[in-house]
Amino acid sequence: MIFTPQEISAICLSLSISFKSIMMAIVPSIGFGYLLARKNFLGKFILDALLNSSLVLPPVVIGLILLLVFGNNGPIGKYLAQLGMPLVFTANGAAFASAVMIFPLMLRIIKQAIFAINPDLEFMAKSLGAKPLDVFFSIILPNSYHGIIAAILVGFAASLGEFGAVITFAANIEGQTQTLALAIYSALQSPNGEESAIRLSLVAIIISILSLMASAALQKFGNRVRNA
Amino acid sequence: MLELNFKKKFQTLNLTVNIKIPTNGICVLSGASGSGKSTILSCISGKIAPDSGFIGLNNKIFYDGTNRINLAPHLRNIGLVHQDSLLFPNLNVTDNLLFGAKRRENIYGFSLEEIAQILGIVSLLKRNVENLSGGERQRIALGRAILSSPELLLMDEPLAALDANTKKQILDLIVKIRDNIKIPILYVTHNQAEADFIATHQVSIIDGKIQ
Repeated sequence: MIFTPQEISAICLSLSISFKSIMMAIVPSIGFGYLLARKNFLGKFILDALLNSSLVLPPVVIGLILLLVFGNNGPIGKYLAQLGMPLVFTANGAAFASAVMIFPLMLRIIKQAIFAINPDLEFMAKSLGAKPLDVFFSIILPNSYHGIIAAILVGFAASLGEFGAVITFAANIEGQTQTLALAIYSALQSPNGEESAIRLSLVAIIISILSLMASAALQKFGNRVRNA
Repeated sequence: MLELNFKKKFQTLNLTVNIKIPTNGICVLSGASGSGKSTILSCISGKIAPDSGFIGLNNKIFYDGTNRINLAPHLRNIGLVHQDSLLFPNLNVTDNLLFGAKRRENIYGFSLEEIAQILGIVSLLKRNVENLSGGERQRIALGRAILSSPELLLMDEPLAALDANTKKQILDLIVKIRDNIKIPILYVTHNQAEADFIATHQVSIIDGKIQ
C-alpha cells in the first residue's frame, strides 16, 4: 500500500492531534471522575449532565459553541489570540475540539473505575495518617489505573474518528487540521478519490484495532504486575 | 483516657454514649449485632461525626460539638483493624505494613522486622496481598496498624471472618500486643469468650446505651 504525501500528512497529523487531545482531556477526566464518583454535593446531577452533554449534542453544535467561545472574537478566544495562542483553525484547536468530544467517554470509564474502589480503603489510608491528596495519589490513582489506561486508549481511538466538531472549529486545512476522518471525507468529495479514501479508511481501522489490542495487552500486563 | 460523651442517631439507632475508658490494656466493647458498637468506633476514628457531644483522647480533642471541632481522621493518630482487613491491593505486604509508618512519627520505636517477627509474617514480606489467607491478611492489618504508632488501636470484630484455629492464633497475638507492645486497644466483639480471653476491662452496649 503506497500513500501519497497528503495521506501521510493526514495520518501523522491525526496521530499527533489524538495524542494532544488525550493530554488535554486526561486530567479533567480524572478530576471530575473522582468528584462524581466520590463526592455528594448540590447540583451533582446537573454537573454530570453538563459534562456528558457532548455525548448527545450534535458534534457540529459543539464545534459551533467552541467557535463562539474560543473563536478569535469569543470571550476566551480573544485573549488566547492576544497571547499568540489562537485555537480556531489550528492543529491545537483540532486537538481541543477532539478533547471536548472524547472527554465524556473518558470521564465515564474513569468514574466507574474510581467508583469500584472500596471507599473503606480510602478511610483506612486516612486513619494511617495520609492526607486527602496523599490518599488520591497513593490509593485512588494506582487502584484505578486499569480504567485510566482503558479511557486513554478508547479516547485515542475515538479522537482519530472525530469529525463534526473538528471541521466546524478547526476547518479542513490540508497539512494543518486535516485529520484522517477529514482526509477521507475530502477524498470522497474529489473525483477518483475512492482509492485514497479506502487506503485511509484501512489505516483508521488498523489504528483503532491496534489501540483496542494495546488496551487489552496493557490491562493483562497490569494484572501480571499486580499479581507479581 | 478516652472520653466519650456524645449522641448519634444512625439509621434506626439512637446512641447515647457517656464513658471514660482508661488507655491501658484492652477494653472490650460488646453488644448484640446492630447495637451500635461499630458506630461508636466510626465516631472515634472520624469516619462519621456524632450529632453532639465530645470525644477526646488524652489531651487531644477529636470532636467537640459545642466548639465545632471535628479533627480530620489523619490527625487523630488512631490505628484501625477491620474484619475485612482492608489491605491496599496496589501495595505488597511490606509496603502495606509501612504505609502508616512512613507518614507518622515512630513513638514506640518498633521496626518492621520486630513486628513481622512477633506476628509471624516474615516469610510474607515480599508477597503481593492477593492470594493471602484470611489469617495472614489479619496479621498484616494488625502489623500495619501497630507500625503506624497509634495512640489507640480500634479493632472492629477482627476475627469475625476467621476459622476457629486462626482465631485462636490471632487472639494469642492480640494478648502479646497487650502485654509486650502496650498499645491501648478498644476491641469490639459480640463474642463473650473472645472478650473474656483478652479484656482488661469490659463495657457493653444495650438499647443504645453503654452499661
